[in-house]
Amino acid sequence: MRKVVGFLVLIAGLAWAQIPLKVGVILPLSGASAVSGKAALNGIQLAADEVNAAGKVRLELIVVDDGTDPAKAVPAFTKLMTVDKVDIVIGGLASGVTFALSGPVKQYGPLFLVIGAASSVVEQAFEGYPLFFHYHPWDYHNVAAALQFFQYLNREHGAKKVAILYEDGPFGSAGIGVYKQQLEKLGYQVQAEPFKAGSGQFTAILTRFRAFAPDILYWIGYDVDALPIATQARQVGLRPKLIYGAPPSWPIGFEKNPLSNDIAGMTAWLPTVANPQSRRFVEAYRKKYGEVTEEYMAPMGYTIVNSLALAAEKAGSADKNRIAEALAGLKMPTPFGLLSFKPSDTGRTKYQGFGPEIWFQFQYLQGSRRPVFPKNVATRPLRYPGEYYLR
Amino acid sequence: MRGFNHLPLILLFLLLFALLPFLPLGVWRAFLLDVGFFVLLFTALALSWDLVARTGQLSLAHGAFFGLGAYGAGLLAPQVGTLPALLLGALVAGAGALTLGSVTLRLHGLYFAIASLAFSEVLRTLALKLPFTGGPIGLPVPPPFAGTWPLAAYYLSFGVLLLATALSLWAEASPFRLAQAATRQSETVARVLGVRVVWVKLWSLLLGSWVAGLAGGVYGMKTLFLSPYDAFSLGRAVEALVIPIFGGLYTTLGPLVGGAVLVSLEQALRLWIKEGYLVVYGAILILVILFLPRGLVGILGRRRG
Repeated sequence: MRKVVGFLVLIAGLAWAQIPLKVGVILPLSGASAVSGKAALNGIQLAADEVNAAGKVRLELIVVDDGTDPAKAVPAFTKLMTVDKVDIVIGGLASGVTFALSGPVKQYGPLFLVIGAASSVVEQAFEGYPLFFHYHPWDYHNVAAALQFFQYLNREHGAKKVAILYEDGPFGSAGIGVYKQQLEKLGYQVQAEPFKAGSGQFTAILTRFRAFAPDILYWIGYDVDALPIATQARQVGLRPKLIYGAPPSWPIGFEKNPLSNDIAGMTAWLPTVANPQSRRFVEAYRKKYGEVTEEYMAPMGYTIVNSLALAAEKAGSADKNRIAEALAGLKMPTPFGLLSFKPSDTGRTKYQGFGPEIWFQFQYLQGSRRPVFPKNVATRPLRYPGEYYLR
Repeated sequence: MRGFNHLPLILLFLLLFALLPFLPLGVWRAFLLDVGFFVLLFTALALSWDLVARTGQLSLAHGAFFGLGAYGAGLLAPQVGTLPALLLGALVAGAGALTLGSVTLRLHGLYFAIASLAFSEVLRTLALKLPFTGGPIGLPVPPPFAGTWPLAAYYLSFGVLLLATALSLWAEASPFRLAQAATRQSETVARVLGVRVVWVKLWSLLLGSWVAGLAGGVYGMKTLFLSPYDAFSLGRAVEALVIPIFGGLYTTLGPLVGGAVLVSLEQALRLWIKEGYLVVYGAILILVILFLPRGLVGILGRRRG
């Protein structure tokens, strides 16, 4: 009997020592960004399970769907703040939705850990908000990382002409002017044309590009465009030395299609990334979900939860301000590399997690994506020119 | 008087939403006010679509009127203030309706629908390209009355619905209803009877566009941000027509009931079913459309008009 009582006291003591954290999670589980949203949620839940198993912090996740729509996101966020009474929110994947949340966030004042929302318009919206922690790089970081690659192609491979095919929505068109200017500054001749998002019809533009004879065909669009562009470029006889794409996610199974061979792109993470945190994440993810993800939003969600738990542990409290203070001084290895917060490049927000350094270039080689640039992460040399030029 | 058969129910509906902020809702208050805001807004949009549908025109341009009002108000609010910006936004939407109507109202049914859809696409493209709209990056919009009154957006949305309801009741109770019904049932016969068909259709479109423009303006002030793909989305146009079909076409009560049920139902389903709620939502829609061809209001009795 005494043993039982002692055991119960021990259990109660352990529970008492735990820091309980109620965390709201607002992600697009339906709508245009649902693929990324579900990947992020998987990463978040995986990390929460690990944190709870470790026993120092007890996380309770309250998940709501923002529908990739401000009209759905605003009530969902309000519910988190007023009904569920959370002090900490993880979310903010799509930029437009995150902007719409800027009003309610400032009204209720949670610690807001932002997983996506790369548009610098969001940076302006949250200027001066003291509990805004932005993990994902800003759009100008993405531009910087891509330009670094183009500079390398120009210097090492003598690439001189870029044809840019960009979708006419916010994702494709934002910053296109800056891109053009910067590429011209690097010594490129640039021809850029927009296409209607999701149209799947590129032959007219690609035919015009053929006369331009670009070294690089650079398309900025969504996963649905990848295969039509690869197919139609071949149909019209366009032979660039490199096809380079920048969709937020690539089509599932694209690597199995021979047309994907030698197509290059940019990402923040791949399962083949060799750092220990990445390997640990891949193993844990496979164990929990029975598959390996290639969506970088999954390790991003995983990283956010782990950093939150570590900050709560350091703060020794569930108080959002003390956690924010601990988070601000955190230095933590992650699947993306070292995480630490500093003011954003423009100085508008105080806590920016990752910068252009997490982006790297990959190429579809023999049925999988392999890092090819920069040299410190490359596992294979870049194939330039690609087989679409050599055929 | 015709059109006022359901007046007590309509007044009860409006009274309930007018008093919603003062009801003892406990911790759910802020959430229900947010849901209420979107119920009011999309119901107003649906009523504005129904006003046009009463002439037999299947408009897919309501997303465009909504977007015109949103951008009009969003661009003007910092210069002229909340209410003038909303009114000017509605006038911009009205100008859009006149442009569309003068060109396409001689088209019938599906041809008009396709033309109105093309109109939305043209405006979305313009919003993407024009320098003052913020282009694809989007346009930040200030909150109503510079955020000084927390319930401002809610009551602006209520005001838009009140206006939409008043216009709809007037259209139901006046001879205008007869002109609309005659136009809907047979334009040829209506012309023979002396109905100025194009004029009736144009006025219906204009009234509908004003309400849709106001709704768009208030929407922008609530979400604080506009992007061409959101403001001119086909989804808004579809929402505007699904609600009256669900609630009951060519009536005032139909869109009111349809809006309250559908928008609330969607929010509730998203809370209960984290993933795949749209399957249930879609199934409910299909069942209602299959088994209640007159919409929910059809349960109350024979459809009028």
